[in-house]
Amino acid sequence: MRFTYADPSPSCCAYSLRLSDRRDTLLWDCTHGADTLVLETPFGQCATELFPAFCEALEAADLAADSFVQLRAGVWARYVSAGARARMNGGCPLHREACTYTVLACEINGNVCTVYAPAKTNMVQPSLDVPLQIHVEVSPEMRRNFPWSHPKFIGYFRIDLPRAGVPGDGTLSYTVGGIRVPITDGMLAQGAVYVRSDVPPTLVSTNPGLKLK
Amino acid sequence: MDANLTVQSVIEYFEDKLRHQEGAISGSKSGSAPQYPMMVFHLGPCERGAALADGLMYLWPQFRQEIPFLSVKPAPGGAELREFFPQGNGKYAVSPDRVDAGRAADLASGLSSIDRHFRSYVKIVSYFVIDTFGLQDLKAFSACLDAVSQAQSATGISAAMSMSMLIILLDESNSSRQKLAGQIRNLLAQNVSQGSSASVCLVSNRLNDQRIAPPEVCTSLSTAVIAVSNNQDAQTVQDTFFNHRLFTAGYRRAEKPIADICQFMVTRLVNRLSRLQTAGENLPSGRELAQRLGVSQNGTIVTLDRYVQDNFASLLPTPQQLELFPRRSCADFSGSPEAMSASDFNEETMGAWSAYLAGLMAEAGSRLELNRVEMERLAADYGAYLRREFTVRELIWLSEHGEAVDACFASPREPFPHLGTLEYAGEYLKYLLSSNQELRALCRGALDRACTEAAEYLKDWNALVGSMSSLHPIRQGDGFTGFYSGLFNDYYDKQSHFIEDDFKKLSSREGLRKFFTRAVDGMLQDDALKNALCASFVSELTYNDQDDASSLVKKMLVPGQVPVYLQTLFALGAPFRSFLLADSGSLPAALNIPSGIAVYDTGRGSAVEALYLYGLRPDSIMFGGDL
Repeated sequence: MRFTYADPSPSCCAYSLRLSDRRDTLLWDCTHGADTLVLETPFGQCATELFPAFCEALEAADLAADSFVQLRAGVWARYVSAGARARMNGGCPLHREACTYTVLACEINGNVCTVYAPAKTNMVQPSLDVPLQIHVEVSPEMRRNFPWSHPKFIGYFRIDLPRAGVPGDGTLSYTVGGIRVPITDGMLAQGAVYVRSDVPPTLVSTNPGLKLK
Repeated sequence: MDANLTVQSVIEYFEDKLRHQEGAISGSKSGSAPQYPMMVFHLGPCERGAALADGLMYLWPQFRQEIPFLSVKPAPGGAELREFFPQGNGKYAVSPDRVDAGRAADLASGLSSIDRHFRSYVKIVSYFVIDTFGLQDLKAFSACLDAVSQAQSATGISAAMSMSMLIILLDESNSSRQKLAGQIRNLLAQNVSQGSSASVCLVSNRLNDQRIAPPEVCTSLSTAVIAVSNNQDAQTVQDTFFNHRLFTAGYRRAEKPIADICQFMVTRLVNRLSRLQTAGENLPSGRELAQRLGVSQNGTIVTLDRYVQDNFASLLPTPQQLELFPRRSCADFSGSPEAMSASDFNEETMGAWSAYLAGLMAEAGSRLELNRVEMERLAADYGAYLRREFTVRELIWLSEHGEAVDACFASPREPFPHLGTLEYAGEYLKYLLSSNQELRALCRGALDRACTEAAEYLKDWNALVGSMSSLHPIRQGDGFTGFYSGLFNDYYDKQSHFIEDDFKKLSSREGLRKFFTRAVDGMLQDDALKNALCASFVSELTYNDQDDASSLVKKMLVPGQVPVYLQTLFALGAPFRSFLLADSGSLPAALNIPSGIAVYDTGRGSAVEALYLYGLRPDSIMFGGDL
């Protein structure tokens, strides 16, 4: 499918992007019967300015899946038809946090998908920054050699990572011994990982939307 | 050396360097110095005026800032004066700016300044050299005499202090020039008879034996006359040279054949090197060719690999740092992280190793992409490698076999993941740099450039060898050839390893030029060769003739053997002063110099000159022919 980026149209637009009260669903309003494209970009980057650069990746992506698909590092997209949106109570589930979402109305005619730029008024609000504050526990691993002895540090630190919501794109990392090791999706899926070190690793976030408590 | 490299330009470079060195060695001591402050005025072609200044300053380099040289040109509104000044290379050139009367007076008064180094300040000597070679008629000569008076008055030197000498160079090359010279002679005879205030030295290019001397020799003669006439014999200077005297000179100059020596050395060197130029080369293809082209088995370019090694290896973690990667439990990795394969280590670190490496590659990649200047430098390094690795013929072969070269320059392959962790990372960095299309194109361009330069180089080399055909044969005796041939062979045999290695690496025009600069400089740095090349003229004669050098000098001590630079109506008497101009220290000890001949110590061993000064009666210079 070929994607084109058109000027704002009053008859086909999406607006008022927001989070549900439970912060697990993205909600938005749109003109009657309009299909929508939801774009997830790194925190603080609004997709409306960057969209033309995504067209080529969108053409290669499989947007039929009912989930977000990756266009490039840190950029994801999900096509939500008018019917699907209605079934999901006016939106779609939140993919990840610590990023920015943008919703754009679109119209499919044959093999061409026309994506309409949002009107440039303050009322429209097509984008939404979704920050995330997490706590990552770093603790020394202690063992008792005997049931009655004092626990002793065994040379490892345990890092407890949140299992959901955190992007495993390397924006969160730990530094220790002069190197910076990125936190990956594999590590997030593991939940707790261990680092052999005498000094505790320090968690670092280079994502302004991801705050460490 | 010239832009077009020829044997002549190499010889000129050698000659220049040798004269410089010879001057430094033979002229390590100062010769005789001028007695009185002096100014030199030249009327005639500026290049000969500059040559006169060069000649005098070769004798008296210590007076470079103290003796003014002025070019005088007759002009309707008064003589135009311009200053000769030493350029960066030490040679004199005329200034484009006119010297006004005030400046001329300043120059003259500056001669008596207390910071000057003349021996006596009671007189100031003015020399006026009138070069009549370019003059058209007697009127022009009269204008020159007027210009002399105007220049003299511009200096403001009082008559009581002033001593002047006119040196007139006559052109008697053919009958029409002889007519003008005859008019000048008659005018001078008339002036002198009427009591001219200045002494006049009359020099013709037609010798008393009918031979014709080039103007440059007349200029050398003038230099010698000026040098000896302002000598340290203060008592006689005034009476002998400046007492309204009319005189001419017998002159002979024997010079060390520096040009021939340089030509001999350079042609010998070129002939030896010509033997090293082999016929067309064939190169292997495939892996062996790729290896010589500096392309690794993975297709990376070795020069770039070295750059990665030198600059990016520090970005890789140490084996100790690999232990800091995450693991699923408090247990050792399944093996030493350094020895584990990259894929296994990545699996055990839950993808952290790949993510870490990706960040590192991005950092390295962005560093290289941003720095275009660095990329060009790398390509230049690669070009230098190619020039070292391949001979000229091989580079030309490469330029004719583009397909074989392109096959070696195919895209690099990603390293295998089963390599050890750090090895994989290092190889991946190399792969990343060598995959940079822009950098690869620059390296390929460097190869093309090296090939083009090689073709140009071969053309230049052939032109250089071809230029030997335009050299005049060296007209020296067998002693010369035998002596310098032996010297050259000894030097070359000693240095052939370095010279030939250096020569074989050449592949560009610029390289060839630099090679000859190095080769000539090398010869002049070799002690044995330098001592022989820089030896004084007399010593050099002894070396190469293996004969008594004094015999040549002895001939110069007989006035009858030395040609006089003027034909006169009446026979000349005995010379009133005779000089042998030479480095007194280099004269053979056995030389028995007659008491009437004074040795003027030039401090320069490169030449020996004999100068005999003959007094003239005005009627003897009158032109006898039809005017």
